[in-house]
Amino acid sequence: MNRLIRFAVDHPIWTIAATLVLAAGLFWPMTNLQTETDFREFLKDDDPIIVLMDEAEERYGRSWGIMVMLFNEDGIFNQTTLQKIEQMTDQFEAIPGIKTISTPLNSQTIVGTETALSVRKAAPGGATPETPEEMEIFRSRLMADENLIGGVVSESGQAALINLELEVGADEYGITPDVVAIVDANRGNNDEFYIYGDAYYDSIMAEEMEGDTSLLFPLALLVMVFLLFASFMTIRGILIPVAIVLLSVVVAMGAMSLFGMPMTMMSFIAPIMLLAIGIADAIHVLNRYNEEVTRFGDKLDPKNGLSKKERKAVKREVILNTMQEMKGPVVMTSLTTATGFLSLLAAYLVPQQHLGIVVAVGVVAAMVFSLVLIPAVLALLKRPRVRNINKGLRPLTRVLLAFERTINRHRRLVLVLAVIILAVMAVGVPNLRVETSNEEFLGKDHEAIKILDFVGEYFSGEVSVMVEFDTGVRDGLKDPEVLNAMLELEEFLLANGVNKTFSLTTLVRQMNQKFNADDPAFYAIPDQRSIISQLLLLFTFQGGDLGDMALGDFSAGTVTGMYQMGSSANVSRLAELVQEYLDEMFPADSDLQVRMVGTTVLMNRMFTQMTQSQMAGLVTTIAAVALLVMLFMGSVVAGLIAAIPLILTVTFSMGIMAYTGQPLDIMTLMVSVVAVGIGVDYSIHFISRFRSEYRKDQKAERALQATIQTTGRGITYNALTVALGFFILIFASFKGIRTFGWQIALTMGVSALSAISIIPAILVQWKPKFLSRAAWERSGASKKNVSN
Amino acid sequence: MIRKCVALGMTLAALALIGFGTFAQTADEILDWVDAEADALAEGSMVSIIRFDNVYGDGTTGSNLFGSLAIPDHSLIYFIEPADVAGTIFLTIDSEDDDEDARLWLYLPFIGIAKELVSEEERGGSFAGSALSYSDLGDREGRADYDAVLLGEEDVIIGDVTRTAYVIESTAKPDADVDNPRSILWIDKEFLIMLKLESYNDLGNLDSTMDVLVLGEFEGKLTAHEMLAENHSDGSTTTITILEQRRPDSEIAADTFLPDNLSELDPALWGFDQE
Repeated sequence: MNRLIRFAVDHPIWTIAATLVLAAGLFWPMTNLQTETDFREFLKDDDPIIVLMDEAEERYGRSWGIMVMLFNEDGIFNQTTLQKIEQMTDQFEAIPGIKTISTPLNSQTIVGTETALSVRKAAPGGATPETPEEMEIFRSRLMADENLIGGVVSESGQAALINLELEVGADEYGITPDVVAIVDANRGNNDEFYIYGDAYYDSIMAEEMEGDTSLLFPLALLVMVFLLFASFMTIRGILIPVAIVLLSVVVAMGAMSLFGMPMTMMSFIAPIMLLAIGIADAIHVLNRYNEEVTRFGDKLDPKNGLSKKERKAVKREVILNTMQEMKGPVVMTSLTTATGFLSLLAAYLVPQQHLGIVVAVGVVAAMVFSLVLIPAVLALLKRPRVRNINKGLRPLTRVLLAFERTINRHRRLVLVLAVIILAVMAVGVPNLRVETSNEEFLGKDHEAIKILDFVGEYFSGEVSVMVEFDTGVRDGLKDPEVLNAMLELEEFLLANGVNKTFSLTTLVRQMNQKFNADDPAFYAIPDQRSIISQLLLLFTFQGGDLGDMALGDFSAGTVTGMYQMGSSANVSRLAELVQEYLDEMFPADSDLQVRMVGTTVLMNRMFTQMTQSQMAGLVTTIAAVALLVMLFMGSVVAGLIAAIPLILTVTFSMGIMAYTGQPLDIMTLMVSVVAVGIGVDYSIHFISRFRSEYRKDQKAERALQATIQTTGRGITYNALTVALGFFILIFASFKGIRTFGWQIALTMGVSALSAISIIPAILVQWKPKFLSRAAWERSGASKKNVSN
Repeated sequence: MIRKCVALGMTLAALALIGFGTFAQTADEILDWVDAEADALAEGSMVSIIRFDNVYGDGTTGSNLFGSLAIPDHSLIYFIEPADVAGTIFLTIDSEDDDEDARLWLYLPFIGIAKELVSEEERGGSFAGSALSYSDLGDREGRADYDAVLLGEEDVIIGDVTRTAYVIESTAKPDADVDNPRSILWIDKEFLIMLKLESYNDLGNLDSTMDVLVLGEFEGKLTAHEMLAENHSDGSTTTITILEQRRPDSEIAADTFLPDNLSELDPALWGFDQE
């Protein structure tokens, strides 16, 4: 590292050119980042639930389509609204790639009489009824069909659904803009429209992520510029750190693209996070450089009589001394921060893992640029204009010194207070609830949530619970006992919050009734297998498609229930209820194998696994960073002391959430890990400097005063920078990101405060032995190397 | 859907044609001859037994065995297997008026009466879960919606036999409401029977195919004995095997095709009582 730093100082042009080439090389892939909003992609391909879902989809198929929903307060049974549906149907038909269009007008109904079975469109010819009498016939025919209510028309008659089934191989992303254009052209006349489809959802998310990035990144940059100006009051003090973080962002995002990681609703904030985190190293290095320049100020002044060559040699030594002093802390803090973020690799969701990797790469890049690019740039620049911090105390320093005196005088009280706060917050932690619903992340006013709410309110629900019945034998589903077992499960689901169920049982009962002259007495499962077989044959002759209700050989099939998600707790409740029911009714050793597959079980597993993995990851992170500190400082005690503010910060963060009723969600679950990754820097910087000062004269009070004046100020500035950087996220479109932003900001404040209060209280009170020992690297030897 | 079954019977008959070796000038002329031969074959009574071996899109399999009786404008399909639908009969009576749709009845043995199936329009989907669809069956009634062009000639290999075929491309007319806007047929040059069919959806992707796998003879003419239908949308396939095709000793009585008489149909009389 020393050689590299010397090379950078001696060959600044080459160093800067090489850096720019690297940045340019990674800029191009960065521009090709893909966006991913499919929740399934948030889990690994080999996750048991994904394997189960893939297997179910392979067996029962996956429907592809776009839904256009219409709402009219006064009901859809009026000519204006129905003509609009008819007209839109014609327009949709003209879009290549749309296979079939189902609407309330053209949906098929089956009418049974003594002599015939008639299959007809709900509205003759699929055309809008023209007279009140025709309208009434249409309305009664539509509303009498159990399959259509909740399917193409709401039970209230106020909402209609136009389902666009796509051709296999159709480009949903190419078709969706055409669909949106048609919908937009038909808005008005008290008809509200909602579009529901993967591509549309993706487009909303991608648009908002893009909008957020365009707004938040410049905003965060502006805040950084302001803080840097307040800190350094020089142009170079602004431009150098900004250049470092921008290059780090390019490296991180370029690497993200090269690693094949898509941009997700979590990782899109990585550049903003890097702005806040990556700037710290540059600030610390420049601060230290200014300190060194102040010390050697006279020699660098052209008026002091030294030749240009001599002054250049002095400046070289100043830069090398700065880097020698800062190399250790910068490497140590960067690696611990990167370790903190890399602990997200233990997270359950893939985007969280990606975020961890990307930020870790960015942090390491910022470290390298700070250690190599800054000395190169400084070597090219003239002596900076630096205010001597010893000439009068600045307001922040005065506050910090007052703070230091308080800590010094009342260190036992500080420690007791810390223990009390820790205890109070820890008591609240068990009450933390986990809520990972879409609504919690996006916010209830988000367009996607409004669409989901609409689906839930008028069309049975947006979430499905699917149970597979596998008899293991051909035509096994045609056994009346099996169908009755499926029917009982459906009744159980309907009694437990499910709005509508779909299975063979409805088909068989309907066909039985229709074939028996529509006699309601025949709306039942026949007690003979042959009758069931013939009714199902009749269904297929009528053009019916079994879809995911049964396999082609009827050996297995599904019961699907639709419901409104509400909360993740609701999903878990239903999943557990259904599992209990299945365990009781269908023992594992029975011939009939019944298991839950599909979205509900996926979500339930995700909720459970996310929390467990995050908690495990948090413990691992604290242990890992503590271990790193132990290694860097060559002291177990130092590692343990460094971990204390982290534990307090994490407990405080969780306690505040618990007491304010804020749930843990997919973003806030990461707050603690991020807080540890960044917060450990404060502990390291403080302990390092304190030890360095203490070793000079073994006087703890003086060491504390010196540490607070220098590192304490740096920590305060850094915490302020990071907190403000993250606080910018409160302007994000997604509620989860907003909460994440202010919680990190709060946590950073607590983390910094803990580092400059609890650590000095412990160090001054007990003066641990490691303070007197040198670290692994002997500073004297290092100095000698630099001078060489 | 029911009409598809009828169309299947008609197609099988059409495929049994032996062409008359006349040199064809245009695609329409070739298709006219195919239609004319199908009509000629439909004259008189016909008894057939056909097996469907299905591989569904989900990978599971199933088989159906049907018996078919046909006289001009009347046909019925009797389900022999699987056992739990045995005895189900599907009756079609064509209208004398070409503009009117055929009338369809379904007889389910469990209820003991035939019900007429009335539909406002042609329905989509597959035939009894098979990979066959209306257009796959090569029904020529929709020819008016298409423009046919003779693309040239190609060799088609069927088993160990190589046949030379006309290649005809049918493209839907601008205002036609059809499922497959484009299809390509391979018609045997010598015998004028269809050897192969490819149908494409409106995105230009292959939607379904039909291939003759085994050729045979009927009444001294070349005919298809085994065919493979593939639905490329859902991945299902159906192998159609004509197990038996014969003219009965005497013409089939017209009252066999009366809906009220379906319950009295004696399968043994037509050889439909086999396993």
